[in-house]
Amino acid sequence: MNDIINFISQPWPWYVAGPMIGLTIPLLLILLNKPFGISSTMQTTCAIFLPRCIEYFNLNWKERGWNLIFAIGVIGGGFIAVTVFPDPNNVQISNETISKLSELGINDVSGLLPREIFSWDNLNSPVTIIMVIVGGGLVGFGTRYANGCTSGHAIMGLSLFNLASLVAVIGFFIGGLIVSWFVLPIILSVL
Amino acid sequence: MKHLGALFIGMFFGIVLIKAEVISWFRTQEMFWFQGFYMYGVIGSAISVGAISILITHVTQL
Repeated sequence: MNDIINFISQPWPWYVAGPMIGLTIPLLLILLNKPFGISSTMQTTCAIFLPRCIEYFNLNWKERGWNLIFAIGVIGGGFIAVTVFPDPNNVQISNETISKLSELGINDVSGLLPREIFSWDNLNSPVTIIMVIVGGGLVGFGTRYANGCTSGHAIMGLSLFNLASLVAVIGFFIGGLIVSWFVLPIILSVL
Repeated sequence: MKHLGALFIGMFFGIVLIKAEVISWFRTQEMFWFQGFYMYGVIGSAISVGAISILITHVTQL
């Protein structure tokens, strides 16, 4: 049993990690006959708490209950991953990335998120609180305006050779490039 | 209880997301700064497996 846990806990090479993500599609499709996606849970949640306020949220959320249970499962799985299958080492990013991060003032590359940015202590100024709320709002609005997030469009949509998903993914990528190269240095200089 | 399957598949996906490191902020920066192949390998192989499995289910009418 310990051998199995140690085997899973070690860092996964990309050719194991990628196919495991891809496998989620046939699992959902064959076992439950459901399309793979996460961001529609935002619409479902709003339908529960804001029924009939906005036409977009006026839907029978009970039919989409599986979607919320799936999301709860993802959270539980994440908890299991860090408690049962922990990896004590840092994520094996390239040395170029480590030095570029340190130029931007990020020296702690342990864990999955930089502690120098994502911490409760950083929520002490209006600027960071506004950034968190606006950032979360943009993610929620954007994914639903695009009708899907990275799961729905990049993984599910591209697996179906869906042209709209390809356009969406190109958009995600351009957005990510702009933020990583131009916006992030500004944000980090403000923090 | 009828959603138990969704719960377990969600847990599988949650474990995979963490262990595949795709939710790592550091991996994301490495990808957008074009400093590593890892994320491109993960995304490419995930879509390949997804596309092949969808083609198989269409052909076999599962």
